[in-house]
Amino acid sequence: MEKFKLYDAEYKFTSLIWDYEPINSTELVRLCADKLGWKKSTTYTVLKKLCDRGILQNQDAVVTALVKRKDVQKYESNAVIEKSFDGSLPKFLTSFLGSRKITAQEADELKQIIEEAVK
Amino acid sequence: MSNLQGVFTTILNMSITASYVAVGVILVRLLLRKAPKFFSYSLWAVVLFRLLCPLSFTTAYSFLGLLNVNLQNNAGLLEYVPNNIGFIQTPTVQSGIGSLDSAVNSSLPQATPIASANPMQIWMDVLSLIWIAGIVVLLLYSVISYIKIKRKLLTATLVKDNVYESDRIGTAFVCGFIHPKIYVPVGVREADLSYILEHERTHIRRKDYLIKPFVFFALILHWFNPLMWLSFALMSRDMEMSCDESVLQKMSYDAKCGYSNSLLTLSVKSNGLFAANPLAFGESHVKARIKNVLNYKKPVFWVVTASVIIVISVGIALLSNPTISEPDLSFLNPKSMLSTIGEQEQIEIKSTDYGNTFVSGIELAKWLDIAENDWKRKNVSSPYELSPSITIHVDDETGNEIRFFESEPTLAMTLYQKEYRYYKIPEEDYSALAAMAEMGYPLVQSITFTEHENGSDNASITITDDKTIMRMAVLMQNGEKHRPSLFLDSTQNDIPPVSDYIRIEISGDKTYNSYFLYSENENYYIDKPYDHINKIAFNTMKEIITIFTDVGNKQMKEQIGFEVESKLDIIMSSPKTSSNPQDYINAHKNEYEYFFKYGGEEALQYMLTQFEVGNAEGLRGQIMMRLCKELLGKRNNVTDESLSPQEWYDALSIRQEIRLPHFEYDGQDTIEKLVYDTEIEMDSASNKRGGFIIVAPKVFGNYEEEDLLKVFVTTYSARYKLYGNTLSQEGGSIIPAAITYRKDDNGRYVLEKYEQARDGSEFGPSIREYCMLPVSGKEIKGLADKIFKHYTDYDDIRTLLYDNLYNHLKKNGITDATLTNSKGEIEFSMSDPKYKP
Repeated sequence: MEKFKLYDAEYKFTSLIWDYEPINSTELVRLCADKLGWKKSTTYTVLKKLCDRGILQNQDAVVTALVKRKDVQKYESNAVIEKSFDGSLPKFLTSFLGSRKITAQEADELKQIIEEAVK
Repeated sequence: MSNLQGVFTTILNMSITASYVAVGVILVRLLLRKAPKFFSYSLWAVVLFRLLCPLSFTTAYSFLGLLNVNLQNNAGLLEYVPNNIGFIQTPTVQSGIGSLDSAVNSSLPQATPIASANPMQIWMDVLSLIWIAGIVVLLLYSVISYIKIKRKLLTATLVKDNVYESDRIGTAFVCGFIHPKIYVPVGVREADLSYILEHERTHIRRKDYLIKPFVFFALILHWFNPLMWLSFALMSRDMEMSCDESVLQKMSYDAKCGYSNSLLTLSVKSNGLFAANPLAFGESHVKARIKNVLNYKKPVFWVVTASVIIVISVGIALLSNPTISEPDLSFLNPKSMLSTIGEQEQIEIKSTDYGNTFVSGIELAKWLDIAENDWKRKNVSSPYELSPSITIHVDDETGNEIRFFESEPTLAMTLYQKEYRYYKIPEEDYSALAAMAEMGYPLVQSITFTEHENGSDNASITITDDKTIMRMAVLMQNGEKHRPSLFLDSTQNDIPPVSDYIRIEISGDKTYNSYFLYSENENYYIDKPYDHINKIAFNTMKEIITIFTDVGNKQMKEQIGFEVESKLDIIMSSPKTSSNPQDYINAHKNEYEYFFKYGGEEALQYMLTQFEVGNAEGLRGQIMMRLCKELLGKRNNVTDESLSPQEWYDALSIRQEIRLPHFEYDGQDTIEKLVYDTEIEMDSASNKRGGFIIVAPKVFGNYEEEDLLKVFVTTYSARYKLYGNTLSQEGGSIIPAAITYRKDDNGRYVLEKYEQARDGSEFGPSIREYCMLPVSGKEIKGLADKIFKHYTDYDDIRTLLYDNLYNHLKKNGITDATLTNSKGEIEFSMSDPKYKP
């Protein structure tokens, strides 16, 4: 069986269910607010998404996991960041604002500078 | 003008100002390279202020003062692009850079009179629409971006406190406005995390998460200005670096290495896939920041001090607007023209009707000082196409003038070099100026002043002196309009409604004007028949009269001088053979008498000035000395008769007269009180020669019939002058009289009739004539004889006279006074107990 790949947040969420299943959905909302700092709506959104993918199950407000812990693999963070951060500043500005990408070569150079400075 | 266009113009002007300021900040940043970055960071606040606030305070050392333009309009706004640019015939902008201006201005379309809309206006409309569209796009983009990231961060999971982690972000940052949270990527090493969190917490403490979006909003408003984008980038860098420094200062000094490594790790980790986020830790300029961190040293005291001074002074220089340094503009204010006008003896008024005339600068300044209070400044965008009918030339060198317009009599224009300003003025001011122009010198050649008293004219004074004419021209226009025209009102036959007035006739070759000056009900008026009546201040009236009396006195003095000289010439003409001055006087009794009958004080003053200037030699001096001694009388303090005329004059110090009031009866007797009052009144009425009067009446009886009271008296009356402690008797008489009073409705006695004994052979009969009862006319037996008898021996009233004199002097604070008769014997002395009553 192909392994399910989960994002960090999805993995943490599923982990909670493995720990506490079967768990009442209301109970789950409280648990998520406590452990993950999530809002009720966030909890339900993620829950529904994972149910649709067949990883979790929500029957009569009782949530259980459909897959085993060993069958799940976390995504590599680096792979996740598909595109640059498109935060509160529009992307097209970033090039103007001179935030050049740092190359591996430059990183090495900087590493050297730091080492020298600290000696 | 549309509101949008107005707002756009304001933004445009702020943007230009901010650009200059930004350049200033960028230059100063170079100076502050070695200083803590906080100083560079704080300087950007000035740029922000300039981007958002069109107004500022003014100082003399504003950075913008270096630009050679006069940009400030009245509201203290800096205007490179005029707000009404869409409506100006020839639109111009002044950026402060000459070559740029000429390039821009030549490209600006001029107004075409036929076209309904000015092309410049259309341009401005289009540009402001583009501007607003840009703002809308940028705002939408920002809001959508923010919502998107917010959604992504929903599933970030709590680490502790307000710290969340997520695998969907590549760098750490602060997000949120009210409860800001710190978001970090998943899998950050514990060592790095402490640095990252310290950095982000510092951002939160310094409210950078609020400042940056706010600044970004300002940037959106000025999106068209590339310098502002550069400024934003530099400011972000300064913000991060100063935040880094703040972290380092808080942590131990060794943290430098760890901190810079964290910076590097985070940037490498993201592997170039992240981009700048305004509030993120691991964002832009990693290399520069790492170097800055490594170079960081705890700031030295003097560096901080110098930086504080630089930032504050540069801050003020950049924040403030220049004071209007050119004095030019202030000269457009009529108030500031006053001193220039007042300094000049004559001011030229150019009139299309009367040509060039001159009026007195001082008087014109006085007039303008008052008139100008009602002038209101009128803002116009370009000069009117009007040609002036009256122009006041304030200063020919600078071309400083005030113009007035017949076609627009409520308008005045002030000019100074090429600057101008308009004022709204009362219409009367225009007419006053028109009249001044007409009355100025040399149009007017003479002014005649005639005093009209009790129905007849007194002698008139004519002035031809151009200075006086120049003064009078303005004075006659003074005052506020009282009644529009005499023609409609009280005056008939061109004369005022009062019996006493002054007529002033002003005439020249082509002009003739007559004015009346008078007072009515304690108000003063200048009346120009058929034209206007102006109510004037008492001071104006006084000034006009003073001018004429001064001139009159001067003319009279000249007259007296002429008379005195001609009489002296006659006296000195013969007999040539004698060397005794008295012989010359005896030979010309009539001429000598002239000095006492007509010359009097004026002749005396004239001759004394002749002594003063040394024009009193030989016979002339001898005769003048005799005349002066006689005219001076008791005032002459030199008794040595052996002195030469010049010696006598040098020793002379004329005793000043101490002026005293007439005697006043302060006893209780009603009849005596009446008599004293009447006698003093009768005497002072005929007394024009000064001095004070003392009377001593003897009452022989009083008789009352019906409402008439008749009192019979003989009065010793004398007039004195007091010089120092010397009394001089100026005249005296002992005359019997009958005084009749009528009792009025209030029970007061009012003088009805005053009968006096006549001179010479009529003396006796005239007394008998009035010695009868007031109503029935019955003779009062024995009364007349009593009066005659007393007249032969009047020691009692002489004593009374000196008693009254003594009391009167004492009452007026005199303690010592002596009267001598012509033989030099003491007649009366306050120090002698004999004369003490």
